[in-house]
Amino acid sequence: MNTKINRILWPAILFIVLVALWALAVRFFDVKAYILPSPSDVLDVFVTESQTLKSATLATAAAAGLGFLISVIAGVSIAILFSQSALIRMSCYPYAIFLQTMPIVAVAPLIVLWFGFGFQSVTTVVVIISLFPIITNATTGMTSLEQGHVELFELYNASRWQLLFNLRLPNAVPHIVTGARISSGLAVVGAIVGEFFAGASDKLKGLGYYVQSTGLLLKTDMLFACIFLSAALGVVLFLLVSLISRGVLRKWTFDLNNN
Amino acid sequence: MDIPSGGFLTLLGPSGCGKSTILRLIAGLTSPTDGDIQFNEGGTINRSFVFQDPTLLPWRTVWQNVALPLALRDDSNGDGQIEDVLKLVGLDSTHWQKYPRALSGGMRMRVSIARALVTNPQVLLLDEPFAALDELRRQQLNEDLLAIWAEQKCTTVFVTHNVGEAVFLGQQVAIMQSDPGQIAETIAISLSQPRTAALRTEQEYTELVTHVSSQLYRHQTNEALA
Repeated sequence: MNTKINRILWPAILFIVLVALWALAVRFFDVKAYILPSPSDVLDVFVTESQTLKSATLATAAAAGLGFLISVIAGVSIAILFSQSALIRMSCYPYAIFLQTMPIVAVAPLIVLWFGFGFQSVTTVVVIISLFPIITNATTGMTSLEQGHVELFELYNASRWQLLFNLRLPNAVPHIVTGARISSGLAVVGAIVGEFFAGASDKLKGLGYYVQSTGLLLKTDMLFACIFLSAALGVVLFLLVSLISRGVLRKWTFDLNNN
Repeated sequence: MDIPSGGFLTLLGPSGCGKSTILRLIAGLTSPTDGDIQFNEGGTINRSFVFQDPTLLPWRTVWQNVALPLALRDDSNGDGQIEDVLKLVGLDSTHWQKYPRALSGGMRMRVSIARALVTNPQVLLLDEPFAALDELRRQQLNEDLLAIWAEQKCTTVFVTHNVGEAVFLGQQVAIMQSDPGQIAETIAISLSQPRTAALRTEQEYTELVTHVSSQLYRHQTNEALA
């Protein structure tokens, strides 16, 4: 219990210290607000622009959440396909890596060109950026089987499907969870990048759109608020996935507290 | 090599002589490059294999692990059978809903044996199942295995490199040598059944262990000299 309190207490103290230093520095050096707004300026924006920020956060959360779910489903499906044949795996894997190494900032305008401005493009960017960790981790989990387990299934003449559902998939669950935790953080980054390029036309504009527009308009206090909310959104999604996975993994030997 | 129906044969030999290979050939996990394996009953035979490791699935409970072979055969009426084999290997119902990680090494092996027995095999193959256990547990499981064999009446082949274990369990002990891997000699063990823990201190048993040990040694030496 004591460590649990400490884990919240000490970061909180550090937060207060840092914000205080920030406020003092702005005042002491007389920094212009469009370079570095003071903490109270940012806090003001949270109050005056609360409606805008709320709907922007929800829009970004929706795109990140939906894209993340699509990634998990598509990633696991692709991994199932990969697990069925070494030939498929060999043929497709370089392109899966390609997907990961493509600079998303360069691809996003292309996505807009193909899918138009709006939510669908934002979600597509999210899927592209968060798909890879799921594919690799799920594929590893479905193919790194214990020899003894495989022979056990051979002994009872298990079919391909029985092997998939009774051995490959359950064996991959801890790996899929690891992939999902990595992807959850990336999903929010993807949503912000997507909105940066494609978010201008939506009725509900996301945080990424405001990051772009307020940056140009030198509304730095608003920019700070958007950055803070983006990061917070990533943390929330990460915690949500961790919470769900903790429940799922109770059956498995893996202990998430060690990560 | 001939194994009588319902008999208990132990395969004894040094590491790398092909004991496990013979077992895997009988199990059908490996295909023979030459020669063949015939069963008296003909046709497909119901074979079960107990691996060196318990090979339990960590995400399945004890009960679900034992149920796996039945599930793979789409046999959903095996609850009574599962209960029977779990009791037979000495696991009472307090353990049935536990996950393998909550069990000791000996208990896991018991679950593994129960899983092998749940399909009512005609042939039971065991590949050094107790090698990782301490001596006391190993002896206890040896005694229990004999009791199970007496009740199930399945033809049993047991691979080991422990002479005492081979003599205690087998009706016959087949001694193997390596390079080339072959059966050098089969020794009949005429100790009466049922065999219990008390047997280990009897002269008849210790003499047989000495005899088998010296034969095992002799065959390895011959081959080393050749």
